[in-house]
Amino acid sequence: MIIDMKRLIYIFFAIILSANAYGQNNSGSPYSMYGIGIMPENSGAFVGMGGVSAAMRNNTHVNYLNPASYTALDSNRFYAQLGATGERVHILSNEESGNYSVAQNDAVSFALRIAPLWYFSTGFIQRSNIGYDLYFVRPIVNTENRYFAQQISGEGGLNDFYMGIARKFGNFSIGLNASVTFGSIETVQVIEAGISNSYAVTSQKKTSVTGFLVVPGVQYQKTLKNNSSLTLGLSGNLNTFMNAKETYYAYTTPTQSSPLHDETITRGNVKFPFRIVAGASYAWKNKWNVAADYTYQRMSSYAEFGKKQEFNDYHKIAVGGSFTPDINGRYQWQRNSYQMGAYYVRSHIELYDIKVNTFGLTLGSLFSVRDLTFGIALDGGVRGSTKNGMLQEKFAKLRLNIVFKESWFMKRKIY
Amino acid sequence: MRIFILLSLALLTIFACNNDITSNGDDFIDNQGSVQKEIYKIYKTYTVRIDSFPASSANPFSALTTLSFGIAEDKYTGKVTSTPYVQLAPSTLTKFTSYTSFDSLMFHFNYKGEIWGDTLPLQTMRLYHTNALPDTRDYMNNSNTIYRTFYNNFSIPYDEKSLIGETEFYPTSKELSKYKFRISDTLGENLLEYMRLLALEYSSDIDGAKRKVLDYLGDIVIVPDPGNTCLFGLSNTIDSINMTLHYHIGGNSYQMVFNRTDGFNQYTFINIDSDLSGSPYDILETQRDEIDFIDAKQSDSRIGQAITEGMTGLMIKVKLPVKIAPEKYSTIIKAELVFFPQDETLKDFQKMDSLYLYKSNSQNSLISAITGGALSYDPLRPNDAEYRIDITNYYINLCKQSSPEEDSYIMASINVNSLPYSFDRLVIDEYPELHVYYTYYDMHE
Repeated sequence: MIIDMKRLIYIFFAIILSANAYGQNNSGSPYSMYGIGIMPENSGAFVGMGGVSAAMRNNTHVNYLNPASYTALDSNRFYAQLGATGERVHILSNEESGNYSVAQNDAVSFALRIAPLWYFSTGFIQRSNIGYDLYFVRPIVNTENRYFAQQISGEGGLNDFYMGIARKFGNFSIGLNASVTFGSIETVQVIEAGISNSYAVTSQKKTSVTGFLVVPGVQYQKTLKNNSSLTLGLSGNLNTFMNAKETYYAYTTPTQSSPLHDETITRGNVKFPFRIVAGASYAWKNKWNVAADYTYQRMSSYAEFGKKQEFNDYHKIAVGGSFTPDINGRYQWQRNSYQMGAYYVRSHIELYDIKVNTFGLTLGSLFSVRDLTFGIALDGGVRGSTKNGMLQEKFAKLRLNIVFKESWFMKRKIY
Repeated sequence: MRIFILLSLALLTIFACNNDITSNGDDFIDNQGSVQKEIYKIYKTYTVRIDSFPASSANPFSALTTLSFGIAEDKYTGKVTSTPYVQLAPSTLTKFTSYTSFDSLMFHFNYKGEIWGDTLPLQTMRLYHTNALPDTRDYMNNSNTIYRTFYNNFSIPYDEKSLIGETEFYPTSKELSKYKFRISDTLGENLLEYMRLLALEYSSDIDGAKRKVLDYLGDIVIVPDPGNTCLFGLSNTIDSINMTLHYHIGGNSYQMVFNRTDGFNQYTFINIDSDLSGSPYDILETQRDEIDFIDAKQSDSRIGQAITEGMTGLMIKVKLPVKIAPEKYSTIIKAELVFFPQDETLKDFQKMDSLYLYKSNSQNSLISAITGGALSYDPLRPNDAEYRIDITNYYINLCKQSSPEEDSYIMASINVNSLPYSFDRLVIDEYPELHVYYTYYDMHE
């Protein structure tokens, strides 16, 4: 197999462009201020089915969440896949409400067969999102009718640049994604008192994280009677320590920008805990497909610079199904796949004895135009609660997945 | 090829999105930072008295625009007597071509500033002239004469025989706005004759003539009667204090004005005698002496007393409490020094508009100006007036010092340039307060 130089250059520029697209705010949730931020609740190639991934494998999508699935791809095609989301959120508390909007790049993946039975994939994956902008007005201690304003804003998150490989062993497929995890968590705080001619204080903290994450995956597919099949899947990672560097400094304004000389640089690590995703899917006659996943991550052991955060363990259940009227049908609507799903996330965040959970329903459709497969899904749900003065976010997401398959490895036959 | 074009377009679309993430959350997420106000009562508060201060025109720091005159007596600070010395010289030199006939010699002054004390009784002003002028030359600098500065305790002797005029008046601002009275005819006749001779001798040397007149007249001393009851200011400008010699030639009247003349102004000064006997501040004999706030307590004081006053040289000295090593991740964003005037002082003395702070030390030296602050009060609650002075930068720098002890002394006073002619005062009977606002900005939790 030979890939020509021009195509390699295209891949290189596509990756560079993808990396730039990760540099913007992609969350607006105040809940993202904890730890590494909000981890994607519904991601991957099957967002229309509640985000199931462990046991999903087909030749239309690069299921980068379980590398074992790469063996289901066509052997003679090069895959390029882009997942993106536009999100509108109504945020509500007992006292006030508002809206925010974000657009985000979920993942960019490329995949191809590199040798008989061996498949390869590479790309970017979003691992967590941080984006919030809070504004407080609080009384100055020991005063009457004097207040100060405090603005806390944060941005960043973690991303993976991964390279994965997979091989098929009979009914078994085994794969492995090796990722360079990178990103930063930036927090800026401005405190300004409502007193004439007083100084404002700005402090900034940036935690840069880089690490190496290994995510193995396995799938077992069994053909059953009546043109049906059952697939079991498993993927995850072990406890992984990632290098972290925290830079902190503060200064006063506005008369002059005077450093406060308490800058610190702290080096240490962030413990990214053990995570496992297990699932099963059942397909019948290329028409019906149902799947379910369970995700567990031991976030209670998550630690930054050796200090454990007070998080709970992370649990997620996702179920989904799809229906394709006739995959070889005459009309487009017959060949389309129609998807439904739901997911429930019991997140690691708990505030004031209230767990910050997320529940979402998904509805989507897949349709192909020549070599292009479009996946469009609506994802609506609720995160958090207004109990105990907490915050509830009602979100509506438009999920877009584009897969382009190009035949690269066809040999011409000369008669 | 198409695959990359499509992919690039899609990525560019996302990259161009302008995310708006302004969101709520402040009502359930605890903010870690805070701003806190701390009030420190300044228990190390004293009254001190600077032993002398510049009170002459030859002052490198400030022009003497006003002269104080009179006597004021007060239950707190005793008796103050202010006696200005002025020099007057002819502005022009007139040649007398024929016989001149003296008419009168008038003394003029204009009131300026304020009147302190009891203004009901009749006041008496007497004019003397000294027999000699002091040596005003201090040293030479690049061929220029640097004139000596006279201080408030300086005086030039004069005797009763040198009395050249006397007047009585009621000290109202209207009465004194442009006051004049006739002084000695003998002096006037002699002066007219002297000017006639000078005009012959110094016809082309006006400066030489002026020097001769200054030697002839000496300093004019404006002396209050011991029975006077109030102090007030005289304008020290060319068109204010002057002597006007009136004469006639034939049927025509003329006049010759003797006034403050530029270049010959170094002799003007004010002698201020401050008698503190009977007041708690009488023990302040030298500038290093000080009386504690509590020890100066009067019957009408709430806690204690400290006072600053013009002319007497009394000043309030405070030692700032300094927090040398504030908590980590906290900083001072504002510092104010607050003085609370004693209400009783309002009965005889109006509260002064502004209070000024000066850097001092343990020897009570007056080192340099820091800043000043205005009197502020709610018109509905005038008794809650205060002087709130912003010392943020000074205090922040003080707290950065490893040994701030010596720089933590501050004097509160009227503007020191006004000391020779302003009887403004501030009496406090509560401890001054240092108000410090700290911002706590730790982000590590």
